[in-house]
Amino acid sequence: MNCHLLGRVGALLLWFFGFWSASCGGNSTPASAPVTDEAAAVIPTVQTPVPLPEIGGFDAEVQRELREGHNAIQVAIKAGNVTGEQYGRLGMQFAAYGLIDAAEAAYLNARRLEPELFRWGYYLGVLYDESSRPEEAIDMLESALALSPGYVAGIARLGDLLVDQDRATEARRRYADALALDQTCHPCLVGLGQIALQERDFVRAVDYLEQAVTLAPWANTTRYPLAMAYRGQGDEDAAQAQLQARTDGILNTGMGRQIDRPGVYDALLEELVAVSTTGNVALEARGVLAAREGRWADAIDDFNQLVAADPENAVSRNLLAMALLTTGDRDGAKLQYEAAVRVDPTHARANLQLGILLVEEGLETEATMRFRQAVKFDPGSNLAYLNLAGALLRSGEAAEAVGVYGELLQLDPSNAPARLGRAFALIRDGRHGEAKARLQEDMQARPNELAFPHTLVRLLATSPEAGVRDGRLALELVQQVSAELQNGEVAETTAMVMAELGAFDRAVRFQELAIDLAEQAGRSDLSAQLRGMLAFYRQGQPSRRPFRDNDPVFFPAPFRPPGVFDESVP
Amino acid sequence: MTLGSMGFSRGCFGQVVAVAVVGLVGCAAGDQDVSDMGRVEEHRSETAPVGDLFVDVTAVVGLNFEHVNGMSGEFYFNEMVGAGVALFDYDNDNDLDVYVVQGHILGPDVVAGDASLDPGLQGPLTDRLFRNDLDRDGGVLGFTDVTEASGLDARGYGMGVAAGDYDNDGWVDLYLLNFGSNQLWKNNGDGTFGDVTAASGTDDPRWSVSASFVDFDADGWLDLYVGNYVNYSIANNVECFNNIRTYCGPDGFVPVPDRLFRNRGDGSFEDVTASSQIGTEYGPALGVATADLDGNGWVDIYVANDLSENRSWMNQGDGTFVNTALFNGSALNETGDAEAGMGVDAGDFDGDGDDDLFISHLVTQTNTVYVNDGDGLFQDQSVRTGLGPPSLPFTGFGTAWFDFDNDGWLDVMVVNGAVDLLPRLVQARDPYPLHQTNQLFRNLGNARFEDVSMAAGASFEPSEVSRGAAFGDIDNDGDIDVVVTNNNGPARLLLNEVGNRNRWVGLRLVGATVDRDMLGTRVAVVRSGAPPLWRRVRSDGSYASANDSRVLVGVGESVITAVRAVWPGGGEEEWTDVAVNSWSTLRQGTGREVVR
Repeated sequence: MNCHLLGRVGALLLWFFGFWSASCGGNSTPASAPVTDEAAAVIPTVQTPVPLPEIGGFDAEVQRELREGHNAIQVAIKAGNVTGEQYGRLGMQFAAYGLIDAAEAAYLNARRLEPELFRWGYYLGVLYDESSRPEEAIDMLESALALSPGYVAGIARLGDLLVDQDRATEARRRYADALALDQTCHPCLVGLGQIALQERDFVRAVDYLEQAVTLAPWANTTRYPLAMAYRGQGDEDAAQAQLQARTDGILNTGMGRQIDRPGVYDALLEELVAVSTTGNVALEARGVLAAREGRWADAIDDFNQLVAADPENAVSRNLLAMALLTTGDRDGAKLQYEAAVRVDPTHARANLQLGILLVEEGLETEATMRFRQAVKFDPGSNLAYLNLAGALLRSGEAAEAVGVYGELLQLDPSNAPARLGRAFALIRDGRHGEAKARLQEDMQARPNELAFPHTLVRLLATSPEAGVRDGRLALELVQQVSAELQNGEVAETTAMVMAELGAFDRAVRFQELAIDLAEQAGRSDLSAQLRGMLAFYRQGQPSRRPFRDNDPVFFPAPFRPPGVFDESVP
Repeated sequence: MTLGSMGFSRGCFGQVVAVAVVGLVGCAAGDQDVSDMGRVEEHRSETAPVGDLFVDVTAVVGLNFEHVNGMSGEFYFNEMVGAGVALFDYDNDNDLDVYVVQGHILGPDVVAGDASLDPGLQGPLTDRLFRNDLDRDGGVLGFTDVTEASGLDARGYGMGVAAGDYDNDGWVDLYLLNFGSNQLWKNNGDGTFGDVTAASGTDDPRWSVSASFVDFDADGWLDLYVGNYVNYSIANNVECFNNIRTYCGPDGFVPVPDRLFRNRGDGSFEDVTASSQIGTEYGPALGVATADLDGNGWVDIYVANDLSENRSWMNQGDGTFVNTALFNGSALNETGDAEAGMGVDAGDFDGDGDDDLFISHLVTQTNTVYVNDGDGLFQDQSVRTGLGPPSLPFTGFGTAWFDFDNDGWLDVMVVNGAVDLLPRLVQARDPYPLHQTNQLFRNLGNARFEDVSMAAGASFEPSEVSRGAAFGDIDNDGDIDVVVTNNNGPARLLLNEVGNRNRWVGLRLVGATVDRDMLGTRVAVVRSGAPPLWRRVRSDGSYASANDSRVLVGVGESVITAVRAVWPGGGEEEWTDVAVNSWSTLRQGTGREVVR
């Protein structure tokens, strides 16, 4: 069982995806307990009517399931033998499909008939919590926990509710109770850290939150309040380190935000989740949730069922393809993408991803066609433009590539890959003066990107157009670049600058350094080409070619950012 | 029938609106005595005003507007996002006119602006401009629809509006944000507007919601920040479900970059999105507010993003910005979660001289208060202030820090309306099951708030899908009124019934040589025996809307000794003869220079 869970902040998601349990480690479903006076006092004695709610908008299968559940209750009522269990199960069905009022009525009846059971009160508390009725949720959970005081997931949930209602003292006590039962109660540590932060007790906040991070280092969300606690202590370095760790750790599943907040194992919620399995909507939601939790095998299983149920649905096929691609099943993914664009030629995302797979197979013409479709049907997609332009550049259609990069830059003026791609395309197209001007703008727009000054240096040092060349400026810039970056390419660039300035001895030395580095990297092909230029330098001839025709800058790899589908990255 | 005869005339309303000009003395002789140096204690707002706090006068003032979102059952994402409203004085007659943003029918084959798709509800589906006739009707509030005469022909699928005098001609212009290309309308000063989008270079074809006119480089010309949302189109619409079909959220779409346009001062703008570094990071922007958050004298830009980190663009004073939101504590809530930022405002709610942030959020998330420590570092105090917990069942949009009871403490109003179908309303077969009631919170003066929505009167009872909210003294009676816009519903004008029971100072701050509201100016009302009340000249904030750019400062029982202005780009002046309970115009260069 994977331990990634929805926290309370993901309450809406709980509705969206049905009640997915908070789960990790721990305790099982609580047993029945004697009804205490405190608990009995709040249990209603009058049975609440449970009419069948409006279910017209649901999948037919879901409607059938709900009707059957409701009919069974009606039969039992007429027979005079309805049980709390029947009401409770019906309440779970209603709750799983977001039918709050009906679920509440059914749970209330279940609780009346089986007052000794923890679960119905607990489910009511959860229902109130997830429908933003915090005071009722607190009352109900307190009442339920009187029956089962050791149910850690319930205590933690109650603690979270109390924190949000500014009832810190009570929350602190609940968290302490939970931690006494389960030292790995992550939400308890986070909650205590949250209270300490609110009270500006930063030392204590650091203590709790560090414990939480130690317990679940993959839960990057926790690093933010920890950073705030360190900041409050005046330890800026520690704060920045936590922020950096958080940023580095963020993953995009391609299916929405990753869920990375651990909870406490909650057997009752797991039961609840298991109820909502009917219909394609539930199947899709469950698969997406599994993907966001990193349970890719489960996700693939769900998406496969979804595709089997509706083979002509491009969205389902796209989801399956994404999951397959993430797990390395490239061929399986390609089949699904092909099917997706067959049933829906306008599916931009499937066109895009299929295009990327085709590039990897060397099928540039077919890939370019897919990228054109992606741009056509999703003209706001950065990835579609970048891949189309890249495909054009690789195919030698540099002028058209310049135009496509330009279109993207109209929409996203700071886009660094587009700016760099445009520069390479302009150089490839022989428009060195224009490339120089654009690169100077690029340096202003993206001052931290070394690729722009580095590329400009090569133009300034080697352009065949005398008006473009500027050896002094090239020297100034290459010094800035080499202060930040030392590698074979920079060495080669430095050699170009030295040659342009007439310092051929130094050009030779830098070129030899570049050759050494290429050989150390096992790049004998590159080494040979560098030696060719070395001969020119030895003869006192500068370079007049910023990049070799086969330089990788003219053959950009397909743009597939980390996280399979994280289109926000470029 | 007049409003006065209906009981809407109260306090010094009659006298103030009768003169309806700025710079005059107040209506009550005793109130305007700024030399009154009687004993003053720091005011603690312990007693709430009684009676209805606001009254909905929409029907009787002629503000007849019904928003049409064009919903067709396809759950197009954009149809539930708009739309906003602007309060601005387009005809320079010293009262606030109202501009309301409209939608239209949506579909794969619908061309934006196609008037033939008018559903027949209210004539052509365009934004509407309503002239405030307060000065024409002897102080009686009433509006006339002057859209056709104004030449404003905004038929894009509207989202929001920003107001500012970009060309320094003394007439307030409008920037319209659309689902599609935006428009800049130049106020010609004769009751008409001209579309100067192309000439000004301020179009943006992407989905834009909120914007701010802000002089970020302090060169005396208003620049323009445009908040953009996500890459969504009718063509790439996808189906989303929450058990049943519902609207999608931003997660399923890629955010698109915001834009910053620098005003060249010749009627055109330069797109400096890239060179300013604004374009290097972006999320799905819905709310924009500008304020000098770190007190370095340069106005910063705060962007509320939907389910993504907020951005706090700190102005470096050299034309560039750095986003410090993560470290400064305003990017995420206290548990490290990105919330669904909708509306936003900056204001000094705790009276410590710096601007704090308030952001409205989705149901199950609290609305969030980020308290400024004075150096631009923030702490989430949503729970402690009492503003967080009551917001959990609501999805908030338009909002503002504003002192509705003029007690000197900034209160908060949030207009609400869900974005995901509300199960209970679905069960009730509600045709548009997103509606919720609005909320008003009163600042108790001790960094805590109480929810006074239930006591605010019948105007807070309607359950609607509220989106935009613009705040300003529409009847010039010395308290702040609110225009609320509802998605697929009516615009509503809520008149403040209680504010002017307390004393107030009304200020319009204009440039030395131009009659332009000096957006970004910080204003301190200096009190005897109590900390100064800091406010700022702004029209931005809220959600997709533009507020009254004048500054109305409630002062309670305080004795006022001076008013200070810190102008954009530096320079501080002081006036000691500003009247209480009156509107005054303070022109740059006419006060006593304050040297620090």
